Amino acid sequence: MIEVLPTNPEKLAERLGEPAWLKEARKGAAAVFEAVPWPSRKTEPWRYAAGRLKNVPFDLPLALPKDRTLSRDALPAVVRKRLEDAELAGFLVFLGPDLVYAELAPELAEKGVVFTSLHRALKTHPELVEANLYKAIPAREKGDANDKIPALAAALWTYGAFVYVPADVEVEKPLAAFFVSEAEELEISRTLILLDDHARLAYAEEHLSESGGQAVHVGMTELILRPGARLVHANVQTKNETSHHLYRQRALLEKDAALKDLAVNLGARFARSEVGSELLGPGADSEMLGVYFGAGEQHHDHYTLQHHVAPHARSDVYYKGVAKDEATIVYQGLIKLEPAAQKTDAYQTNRNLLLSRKARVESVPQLEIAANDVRCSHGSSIAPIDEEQIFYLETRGIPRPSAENLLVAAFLEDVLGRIELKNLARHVARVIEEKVRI
Amino acid sequence: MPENLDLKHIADDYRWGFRDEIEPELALKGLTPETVKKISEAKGEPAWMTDFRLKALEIFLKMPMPKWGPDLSELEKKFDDFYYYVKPPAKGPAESWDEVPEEIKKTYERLGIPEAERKVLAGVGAQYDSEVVYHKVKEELERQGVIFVSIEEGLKEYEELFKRYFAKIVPPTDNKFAALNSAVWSGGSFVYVPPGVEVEVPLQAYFRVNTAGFGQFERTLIIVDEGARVHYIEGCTAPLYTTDALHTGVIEIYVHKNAHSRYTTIQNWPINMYNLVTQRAIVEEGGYHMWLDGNLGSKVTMKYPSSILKGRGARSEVLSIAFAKTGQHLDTGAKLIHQAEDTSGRIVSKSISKGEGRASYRGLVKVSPRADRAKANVECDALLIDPESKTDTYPYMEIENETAQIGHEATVSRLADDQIFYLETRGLPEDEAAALIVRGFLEPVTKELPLEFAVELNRLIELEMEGSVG
Repeated sequence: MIEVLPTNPEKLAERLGEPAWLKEARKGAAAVFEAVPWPSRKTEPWRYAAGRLKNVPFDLPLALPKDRTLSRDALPAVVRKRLEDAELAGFLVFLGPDLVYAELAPELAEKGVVFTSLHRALKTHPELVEANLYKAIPAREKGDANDKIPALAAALWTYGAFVYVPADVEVEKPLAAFFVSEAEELEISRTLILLDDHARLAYAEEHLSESGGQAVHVGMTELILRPGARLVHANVQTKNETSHHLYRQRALLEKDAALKDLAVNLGARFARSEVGSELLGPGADSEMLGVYFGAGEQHHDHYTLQHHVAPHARSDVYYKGVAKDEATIVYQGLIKLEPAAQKTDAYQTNRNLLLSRKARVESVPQLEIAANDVRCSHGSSIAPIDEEQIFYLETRGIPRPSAENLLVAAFLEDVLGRIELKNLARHVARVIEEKVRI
Repeated sequence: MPENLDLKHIADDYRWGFRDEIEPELALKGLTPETVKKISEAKGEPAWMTDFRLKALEIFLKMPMPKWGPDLSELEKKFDDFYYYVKPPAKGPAESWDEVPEEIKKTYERLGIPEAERKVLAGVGAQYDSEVVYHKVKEELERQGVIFVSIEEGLKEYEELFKRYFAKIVPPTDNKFAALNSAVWSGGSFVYVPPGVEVEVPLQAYFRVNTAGFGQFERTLIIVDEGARVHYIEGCTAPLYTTDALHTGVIEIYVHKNAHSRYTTIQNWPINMYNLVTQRAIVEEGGYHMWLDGNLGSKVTMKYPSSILKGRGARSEVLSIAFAKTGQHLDTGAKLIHQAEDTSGRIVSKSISKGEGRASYRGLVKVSPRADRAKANVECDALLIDPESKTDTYPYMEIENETAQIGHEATVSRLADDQIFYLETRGLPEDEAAALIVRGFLEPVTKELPLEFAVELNRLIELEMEGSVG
């Protein structure tokens, strides 16, 4: 772990040609980074991940854009394969910190939809970026160890995506961004998605690797949903098993805004995913789904936050995990209701399936409730694969490995079935099938 | 305690809040090696115990305050202001109430202890501030070899047995408050039930604090030998003072092969008491232990009764209720540590928060790699009475064995208007309807309580629910 930033944030701002306010913001974030400690086992949301965090090589050189571009045919093979069956209205491809390819349906651009790199948006839509960047994930939230990584990310991000959907515009086909790690570098990205009043969008970000190196990726995604906006969002991580992936996502939901989110962790040696929703207006609705499958020595660590500030809002977390070999899978989550959050419906469910003796599961669903006229519940379970069901399938002539595969698919189906991004869900199911088999 | 709280008003509601005018024989204030040595000296302890206490004090001073859970920052400033040992004017534990000093006897009569002893108990221990003033067990049990004495007598009369178990289940290094208790412990019970002996009616200890600014540090050690059976009950009250008080107990229970034990405690400390207790049982093969835990009083309670299921097929249940009112933060829960095959456990936690009260459940279910086929189920339900009431749930599940079957369910609900309305249409006044719903909510736990406790608890709930709705 590093105590000093590897690059001077002000010099970085100059090199990237950024406006003065952003240079100041980076400087402020650097001060927070220096002031707060790294998360330890005593930092509650990091209870089970702090040990793994120590092994993350943060001292790798910071990935700096080299302004490369590629033709569609020259895109990395992992991306081309994904594009075969994805029906997208537009997509961005980042190779390391470079936006190497971008595509957006012309009719969307005509309607005012913006889908580009965050640095490009700083030039084309400076007011929109300035008013919303760092709003959902500030460098300093509590002034404690939870801020260490967001502060690092706020000070030194070098690339990322920007999406803006104007009021009342509906984007019918999904947009996607592919982030491909290629070098042993410290990659820090930032995504800002902004949906104006009653806008609608489906969006997926995928994190992939092209080589076998142990890249470190730190990604922050800010989702801002103005009144009545509806967003379907997925974050799918299928990186190589030597890489490290640290992801934080926070959505701000205003009145009647709705988010349906899916977090998927299948790859990486250590993947940490923090997904939070702030329910700021009445009628807001946040459904947060999660699927993870750890094998080998993987560690998949998840933290969710359902923060109810306004009354009459709803949130539902449904995370399901499978662990085999010597993998560790962790779910920690908090439903927090402020005193004003009367008439809240908030639920939280975590289910875990264990496929091997040496696998490890930690499950900590938490409630902090300060309002009384509410409906809140949570449930958690941990169980082995059901031998009776295996036996039944075997009597039908299905060999054990296939039977296990069927039961894992069935176990995860009710989560994957709830997301509208059907092509993506099929892709995730295929990757899981491979992981069960090997 | 919030400043706007009217102490007088609370004192009126807290029926055990009376104070006795009794001058103690010896009162030791401040937390120093001197205090610790004097306590050990006053008790005439062997050198190993004096050393143990002094080492525990060092551990306490070194360990940081817990950074999680309720706010203890006020308590931290006061460690030197507490009385750590207050000896009442009585000559060791009496075996007859007639030998107990008149004033102290009166206190226990007001609390109804001698009467209960005659009617329903197999043995009674009564502790007043630091020392046990009365201890008696029915003769036939004594003949069967049942030991039920004060912890001091346990050390004096049964040193070898005592030494074999003491601080083995909860060592001073376990947590800061276990270290504090280990340094200044005084009073509590020592119980031994020989192999095969079944004590059918409960043994009861009653803890009473009288001195202002007092810390009570009782230490209880219960050994249930192979195939034996026992039920131990503990109750606590104190007068209400304007200064905060501290109760830091350590309870160690060893449940041998096929033994069966129950530990019931209902604490109704006044709401300026810090109640920080470590309760832990080790359960051997085929053994069973139940923690029945009621938390009604105190300003802050931190208490997580734990069962270490050490032997094959060991079982444990933890049933708990908490009733948090304005000025109270009750942080309670349970731990089940599965260390052997076929172990099973159940936790049922019911909490009620009223006014600005805050009830938190904090629990752990841990399954170690060798605990094949471990099963555990956790149910936590919280009922919120008022808009300002608060509740939290922090269940930890750490599972390292694929054959484990672990479940956790929690719900949070409010006192439902439609249920109250229904009962009103049946002719019940609103207060009674509310009390009935609360009783129904707690019923899965209260049905396990000894009758007189259940009656008392129900009466208390009725009092609490008066004027609480509408």
